[in-house]
Amino acid sequence: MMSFVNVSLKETVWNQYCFKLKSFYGMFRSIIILQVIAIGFTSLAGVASTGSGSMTISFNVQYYSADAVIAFTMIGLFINGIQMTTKPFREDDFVFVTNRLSQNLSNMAFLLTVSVATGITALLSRNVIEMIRYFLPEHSYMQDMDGPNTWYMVVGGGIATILYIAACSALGYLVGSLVQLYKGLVIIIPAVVIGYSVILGTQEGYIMGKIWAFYFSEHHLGLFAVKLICTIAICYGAAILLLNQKEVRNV
Amino acid sequence: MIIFPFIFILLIMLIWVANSWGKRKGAGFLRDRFISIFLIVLIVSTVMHFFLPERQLVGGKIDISTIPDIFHEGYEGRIDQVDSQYLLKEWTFTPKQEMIQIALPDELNQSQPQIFVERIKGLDVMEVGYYRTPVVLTSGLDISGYLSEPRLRFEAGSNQIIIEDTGYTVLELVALKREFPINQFYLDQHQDFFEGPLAERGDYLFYLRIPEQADVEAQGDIWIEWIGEETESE
Repeated sequence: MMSFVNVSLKETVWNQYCFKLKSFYGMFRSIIILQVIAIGFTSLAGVASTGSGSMTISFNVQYYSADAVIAFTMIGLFINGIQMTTKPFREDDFVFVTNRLSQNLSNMAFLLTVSVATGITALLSRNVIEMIRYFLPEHSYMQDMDGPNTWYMVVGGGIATILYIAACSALGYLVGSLVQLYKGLVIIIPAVVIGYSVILGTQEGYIMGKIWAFYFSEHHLGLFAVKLICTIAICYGAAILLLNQKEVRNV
Repeated sequence: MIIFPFIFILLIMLIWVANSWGKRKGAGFLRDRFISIFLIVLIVSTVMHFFLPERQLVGGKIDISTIPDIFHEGYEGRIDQVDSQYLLKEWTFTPKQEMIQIALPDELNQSQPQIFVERIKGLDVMEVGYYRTPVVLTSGLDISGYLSEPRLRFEAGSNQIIIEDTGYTVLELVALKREFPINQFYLDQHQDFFEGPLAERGDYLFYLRIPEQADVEAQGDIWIEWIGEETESE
């Protein structure tokens, strides 16, 4: 059926974005469930332990932080990024007048929104972990080894967390887009990821090490933000180019 | 790294379960309010954590380069020149015989005390000094306040010094750590943001000044260093 209503791209994207916020609410909930599970694991077992000593002292430290919550959120958003490109999710867009570009832009906006929201909840979950530990019967009250967080640390760390999560969702979206074009990648990508992970378990991974250092060894927040924003833009840009090769309703 | 694929598969399954829970009829009240409940818990926890008592490790910041090497000073016979703040405790005993025994209980063997002995002309008593440098974490935090005090006892009958406590302390800490996206930018550059703190310095020694004619014999895992003499014994 043809429509004679002239709808701008901006309006279409906005309508689809609002629609997705309501209808893909479950995606946000699934990330929150992952965060709750991570909070549970962390509160009981901690995220790491370390020991050191000298002639006069031997000390062991059991660490608690929201690291696992952030990591689970990153992986969860990566998976959700892939999910966004799958048939059931793309079908929903056709209740609106749409094209590939508006579909992709609204997906991007939605994933970025979820990244921001879950990034904030992931960082705040540190306080929940602290409370749980405080009220546990053995009362293992936590020392703040690194000192208190100042407001600029919280803001800077929050931005970095959101960028990490957004990058993971963008990467997931790119992977999902690749899979939509070349179905064989459903097998190849997990095989490569698992295979490479196994190799990394036995020897030093050169490429992965370089990628790791590129992001995790950047100590300047501004440069880090530029790197991550470029990565996100490249992933979404590539995904849009890839998916534009398909017919609009070729789901 | 090898465990990563399994975590990944587990998370995919969890997301699938979470999504199916969202679609299932009858999941009802909890499903619809799950996020709201979680947000309330987050907000309450955030407010409450401001009311928790002080969580800092007790101790000031210290520049590790200012801490002297007491072993080096001891070997060189210059222990007197070490700042008096590092001389934590002193004892004076009057030996009854020339041969002085030093004993260490088995449970303290792991702390392997080092004892420096110097014969002093004209000295009638035996002076024992306990020197200890602060234990400093990589961040520069001085945690010496957690160390125990050394204890010595002199048994006149057997002419024996018994080291009851070398000051060695085992500390079990439960710590809150900054998240890696914060540590990446705000941790001291000499620290790895995935690693915990290391303890540095925290050396100790017992320095004995004995009468010229006296001798010292150790029992247990004690290292004796004679200052100003050729002989060494363990």
